[in-house]
Amino acid sequence: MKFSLRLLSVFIVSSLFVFSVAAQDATSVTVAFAESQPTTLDPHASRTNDDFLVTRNVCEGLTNYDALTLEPIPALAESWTVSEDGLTYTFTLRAGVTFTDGSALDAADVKYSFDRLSNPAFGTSYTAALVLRDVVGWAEARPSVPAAGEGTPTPVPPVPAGVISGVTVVDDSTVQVVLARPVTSFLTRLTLPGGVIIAEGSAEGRDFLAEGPVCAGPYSVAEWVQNDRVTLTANPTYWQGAPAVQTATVRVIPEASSQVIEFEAGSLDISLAPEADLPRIREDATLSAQLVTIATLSNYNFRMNLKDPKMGDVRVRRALAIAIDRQLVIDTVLQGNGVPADGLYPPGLTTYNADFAPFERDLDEVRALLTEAGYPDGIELTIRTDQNETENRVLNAIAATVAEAGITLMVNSTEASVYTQDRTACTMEMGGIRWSMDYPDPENMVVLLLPNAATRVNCGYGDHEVAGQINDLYTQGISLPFGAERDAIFQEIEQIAMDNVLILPVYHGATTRLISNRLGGTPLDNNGTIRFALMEVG
Amino acid sequence: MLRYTLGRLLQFIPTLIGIYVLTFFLMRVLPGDPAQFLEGDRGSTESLAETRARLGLDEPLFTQFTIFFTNALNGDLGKSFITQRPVTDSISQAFPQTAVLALCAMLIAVGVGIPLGIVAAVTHNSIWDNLTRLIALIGVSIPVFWLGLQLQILFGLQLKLLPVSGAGFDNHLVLPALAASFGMLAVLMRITRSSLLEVLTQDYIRTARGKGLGFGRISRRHALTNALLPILTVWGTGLASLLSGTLLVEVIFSWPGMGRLLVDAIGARDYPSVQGLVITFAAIYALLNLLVDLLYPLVDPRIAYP
Repeated sequence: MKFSLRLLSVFIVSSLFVFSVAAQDATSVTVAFAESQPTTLDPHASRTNDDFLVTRNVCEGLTNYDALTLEPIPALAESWTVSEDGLTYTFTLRAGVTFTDGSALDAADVKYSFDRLSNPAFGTSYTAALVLRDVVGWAEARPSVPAAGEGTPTPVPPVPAGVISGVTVVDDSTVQVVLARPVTSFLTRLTLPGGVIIAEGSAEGRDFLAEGPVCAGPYSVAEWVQNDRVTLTANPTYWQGAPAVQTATVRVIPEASSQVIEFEAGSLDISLAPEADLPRIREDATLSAQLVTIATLSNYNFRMNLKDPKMGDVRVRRALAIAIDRQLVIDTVLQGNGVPADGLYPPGLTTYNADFAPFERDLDEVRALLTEAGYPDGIELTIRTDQNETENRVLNAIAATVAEAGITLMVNSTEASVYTQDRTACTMEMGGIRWSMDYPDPENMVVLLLPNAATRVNCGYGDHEVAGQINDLYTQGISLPFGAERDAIFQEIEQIAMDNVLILPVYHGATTRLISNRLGGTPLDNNGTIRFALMEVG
Repeated sequence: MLRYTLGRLLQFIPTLIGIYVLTFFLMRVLPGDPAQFLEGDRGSTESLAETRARLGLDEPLFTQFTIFFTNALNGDLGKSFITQRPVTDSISQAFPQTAVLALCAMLIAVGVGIPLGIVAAVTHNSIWDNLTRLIALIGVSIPVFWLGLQLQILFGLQLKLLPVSGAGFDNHLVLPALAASFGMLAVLMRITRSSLLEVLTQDYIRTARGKGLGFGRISRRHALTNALLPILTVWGTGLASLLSGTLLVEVIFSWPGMGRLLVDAIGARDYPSVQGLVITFAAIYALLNLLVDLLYPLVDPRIAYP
């Protein structure tokens, strides 16, 4: 008995010591998902950032975006022509491209992918809508479902789903896409995760909860261990040549602080660097040398309920907008990550204007505006939010800065599912929105103002006196070629929106990551996406 | 005994059905809409309606209930709203993870907690007793996420002895099991101490002493066996709560268990997953309670089942 106990303790102690940090060689990289884990491996149904991480590394579309400039560049389409009216795009497919199952890329694969994307029977529709909503046949493939309440069965769509008539096969290597209206950003929208091309027929009967898609990207999914990791292996037949990193492991580590510890222990090559850990990281010479900050194309703002008696008054909205000390919030809560937002567009867009500053802090004007609006003794406002930790700290800091001007800002945070529901029902004065752009085009910021989305439809945007004007400018802007004229239109929209304080911008965010100094190349593109194929491992 | 067991098992059926029905309606009474959660900031009015239809949320509540309930009776708990994965799949993947972690944690808690409790009782009011009281106080009051982080920093980062996080039935188990066991360990230690102390003051112990029996023999044979009942009860509920997932431990150590599954599901208003998990937890609690009841006669011969 005594002997076996001793043996057991020897065994336990020795088993503690056998662990050594997983040896990292020059062809394998380990990173972690930013949020949790993918919801699906089906690229056409991808909707979360974790879904996108897999899709972006495994699949490609007709176009891709440049990792640094974010401009659309040829991918599976080698070249294209656009008709003079801007409506017809003719894509010539790259020769010699094969999918990971060995089949060759041809026009039928493109048609198959876009037909599948237009099928309302699966997936989340916003991904598909971003890519295809201006293509001829979209409205027929996705007949609008009346917004039925609970208890009202949805009518069956009148047209058989799953075919989009605006996409046609010309010959094996040529595909034509016809738009319903000229949209200059169409090539950019094709770079979105939903726009990727999968091999014809490959999705039928495939279990995307276990298997990756059949794509023509630099990697393929080797394994998805639920709640633990996704492993990608290099595609040896990738048209740009097999990537240097042969095996990429993406681990599921939902707690950001745990990611930092894993990074420090040498078992992660890229980790999140949450604000709470930043002071410690910056003090540590080794860690701070590996800290990378990337400005994200984003806008944290307050969405207003224009139907609310208080928020319906532009004087109250403006008073709040100019009472906030944006720089203070960025310096303290955000640890310097971000720039104050005075308008719609983040730095990085051609429409960004650093001199545009309609909301300079002016506490005297705040008091004057509030008095004029009938609140000489100050006003009490409530902002709703979900339980995002950073956002709650930001809002509490804002509440402190606006209190100086006689505005009592109550922060009411609830679960995300409750918050989104109340926001749609317009039962709040205003709500915080963390808006990250889907693609780098000002039009993707203007959609915040358009009265056609679930999150804002009934809260007064459509009824506002400038709604028609904004809509007209938007329609005009999206058709114009890139350049000064187009930018001027979008800046005009921004001016109108800020004159009326339709949304209240606070800051343009930045993301911080720890990136191991053994990684060279472009481990993280300027969109904040991890790109294994662009890494060089030392 | 067999009749008693069968009778208890039969009682499970109405209990579990009741819990399922209650969960179904409670989830739908809660504010929050799964379709809007899925669509997030991006969705349009049209896509929201499409998503509602796809999830079957546009059907009348009673129809939804009938569908879910008949499927559940056939062992089909439905598909997750978020991942479209069958709920039974997620549970059968997460349960072994949680079970192994829970059993390891319980092993540590019992292996350390009960002996320390005995030491405390036997030497009560001594320095040893005070020392174990301090351990117990720390054990119940220390936040598990803080303990988890400290363990990660000490063993993973400083000493580089153990992996910081991640799943695996090897040395990956050590830190999460330690973290998960701590609270349980403290409770077991205290309950062992108090129930043993109570027994040690009984008349028959004094009689045994008077007869000249050694103190070691008295504590082992006469006192501890009689003190076991409350320990067993605490052990049963403790194991059940460990088996339904120790959420914070699972989050900190990225352990893919049941607790994380449930919290994610509730946050997303993923009705099928919540219903499936709650019914599984209910079954675990019911079974462990039965197990504890069946163990009582072994500990206390006065308890017997027909």
